[in-house]
Amino acid sequence: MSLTLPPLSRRGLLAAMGVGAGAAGLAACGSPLGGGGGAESNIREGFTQADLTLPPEYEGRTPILFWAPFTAEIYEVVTAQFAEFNESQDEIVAIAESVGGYDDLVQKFTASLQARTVPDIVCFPEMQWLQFHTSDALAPLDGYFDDEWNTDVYIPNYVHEGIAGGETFVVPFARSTPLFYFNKTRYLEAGLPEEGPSTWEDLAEFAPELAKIEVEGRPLSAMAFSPDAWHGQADIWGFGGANSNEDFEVTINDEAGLEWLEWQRKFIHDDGFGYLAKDAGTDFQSGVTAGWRGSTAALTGQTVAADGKFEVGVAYMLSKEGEQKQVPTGGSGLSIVRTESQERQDACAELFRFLAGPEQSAAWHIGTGYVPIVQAAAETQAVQDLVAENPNYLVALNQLENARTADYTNWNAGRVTEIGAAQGRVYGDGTSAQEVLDTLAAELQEGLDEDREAYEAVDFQGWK
Amino acid sequence: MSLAVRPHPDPGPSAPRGAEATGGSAGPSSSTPGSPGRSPAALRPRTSGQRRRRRRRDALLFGALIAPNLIAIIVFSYYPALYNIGLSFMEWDFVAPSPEFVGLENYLDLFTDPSFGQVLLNTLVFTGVSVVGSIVGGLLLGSLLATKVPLTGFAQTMAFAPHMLPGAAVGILWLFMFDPNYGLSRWLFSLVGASSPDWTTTSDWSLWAITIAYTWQRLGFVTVICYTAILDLPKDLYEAAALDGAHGGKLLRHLTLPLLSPIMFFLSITGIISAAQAFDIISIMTSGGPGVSSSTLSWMVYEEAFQKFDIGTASAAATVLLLILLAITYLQVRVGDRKVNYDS
Repeated sequence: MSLTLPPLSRRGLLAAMGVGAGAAGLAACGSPLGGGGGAESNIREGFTQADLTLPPEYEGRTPILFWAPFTAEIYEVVTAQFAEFNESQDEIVAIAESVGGYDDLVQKFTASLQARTVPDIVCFPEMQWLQFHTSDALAPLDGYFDDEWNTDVYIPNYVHEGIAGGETFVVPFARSTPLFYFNKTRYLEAGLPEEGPSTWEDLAEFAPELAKIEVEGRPLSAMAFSPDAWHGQADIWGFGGANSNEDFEVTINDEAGLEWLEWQRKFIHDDGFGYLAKDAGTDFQSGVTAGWRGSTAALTGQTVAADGKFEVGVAYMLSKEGEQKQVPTGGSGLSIVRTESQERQDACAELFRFLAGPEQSAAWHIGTGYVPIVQAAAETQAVQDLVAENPNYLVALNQLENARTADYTNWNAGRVTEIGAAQGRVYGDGTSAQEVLDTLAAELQEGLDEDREAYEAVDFQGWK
Repeated sequence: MSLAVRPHPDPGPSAPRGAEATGGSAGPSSSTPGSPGRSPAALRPRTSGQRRRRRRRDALLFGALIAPNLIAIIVFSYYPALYNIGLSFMEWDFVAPSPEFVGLENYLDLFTDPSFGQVLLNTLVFTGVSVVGSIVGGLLLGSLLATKVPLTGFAQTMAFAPHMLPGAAVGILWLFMFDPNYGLSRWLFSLVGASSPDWTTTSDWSLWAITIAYTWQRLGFVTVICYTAILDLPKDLYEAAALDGAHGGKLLRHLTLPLLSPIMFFLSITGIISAAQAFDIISIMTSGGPGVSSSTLSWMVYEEAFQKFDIGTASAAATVLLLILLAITYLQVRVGDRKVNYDS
């Protein structure tokens, strides 16, 4: 294989050597979403396939490589589905390699783009695929759609989040929403309703009852909090507010935002009904807390882990009484990477078509807890049986009617980290919501002002 | 560098230039075989020619042996460090096709950000307490281990064990011990009727949680170094000092500590550098939070680069860390030259 030096490195090196002016001239617009224009072709010369290990029985087929941002049980389900695909035909062999999580995939994929040896398929949340889209790394999928496989087969909430500039670059795959998990066994023991809380007021009412139960000599906590902007987004919506509005104005410290975070501060620090957990999911499993929030993708794992210890219950994300419940979408979708090979790109589309089969989508949903992203999957016998056996999966599915794209503030990894850190100060230290949110709002506004132009230029369907 | 040429001293200016040229260019075939009555002067070109050849061969060998190391250091240390300094003048997110030159903006942002001051202070506290704590503790434990009692060998192994554990394991271990719900901390505080602080989830305690865990990990290494150094102390000096009536604190202050000063010097330099670079324990235990309460410079570099994808700020913070470490090391070496006693 010939060694090709990526242009980025040369520019970077020049820059590092102090040729600042030249580097500035060469640099792109430097927008947060990169500076690339639209790709003229899906073919990208010089971008070869990253190394993969091909099982000997599949020699001679067209190999396609997926860098999967999944580990453990979820990765096992991916592997099983790929094996099924490889058995279903004799032209293509699809290989899934686990690279860790989304952050790992960002790092590895970025490095691979610079080295020009790339995977054929990647799987990113919106805030990340848009970045790669604007640097021309992804191929549009619309040309592959036909009567059988097109965006209409998917649950509509997630489809528009894969479209930019009128073209589809992502089809929904590992999609999720946050859920409220509770310990149903403890709820019943305390004489509380088995469907769990629906509003924050419910939780405040239930908390003293739960606290009467002692766990290892301490009152049972009603909820373990995580400093998580994804949960925060559902919370502020549930109090009738928003992180920012359509005019790119940060509203997180408006009345509703203050009420949200102050309510939670009081719940934790004045009433002592909740606490900031290092790992809320683990605390929930060990029985220290009777509630926490996690992804729908944790449902299968949590249910299996709690088996024999207690019964897991799930409810919609809580809202304030009288306010509309809304949850941010989460998770990721599949994209084809622009490479030199039309043949491999076509093969990837075949795989996506296969994974969009109702049975495959159902198996993916059952094995992981991710939502059954293909509409017809919910009608399959397997999903019907699962829902009959464990109604929690139906709650997760039904909550989709409340799912929508997160506010502009949540589309940048830095700002997401800042929102989470602000929640952490309120949950952990009991700092007043006003103080924390005022500081946060200023930081967020500065970021949004910088990014507004780029966000508008990307023509992202998810915001329409 | 001088090591390579030391065995073959330069022939010096006395070597005739013309002879050197002859010997150098003609090589072995220049001397006529069997030519009678060669004067010492005639011999000289050959001898110096051989020397030069040997010198050249040695230089080549030296170059060949040092090259892999040199290349590795340049490629993996100096180049990334310089590249990092370059990136600190750029704005980039790893993904955009190329970085954008922004001059000193990243540094201005960094130094005007109030949380950066907090991060610097955290780094100072974390580094200072862990270095001093591990040296004092290591010295005490090392002295204890040096006294021959039953099970000393076992105790030595136990003392060194934390150093062999990976930081992530140490982090998880302490996370469990600090857990206010089911950890050792809960039990300890309950003995005095108090409830355990929320070590890793409140700003009041988070920095101390990572400092304690890190110091504990470092303690094993420091103890072993101190222990071996104490064993090497010259016994005759102690006998003489005992004859002169020195004992206890005086012995420690005027004899042991000066004799151990090179070791202390080594431990303080390596301690400061490794504490300033500590990452795994912070990542596992607090992720720098709540807020930035347990964020040190090295954690901040990671967070900015790989969580916020703000490469410019991360590089600027890394450059600041590099400069601070360089300055501290320089100061230590300067002070060390005057204060450290290498004569033992």
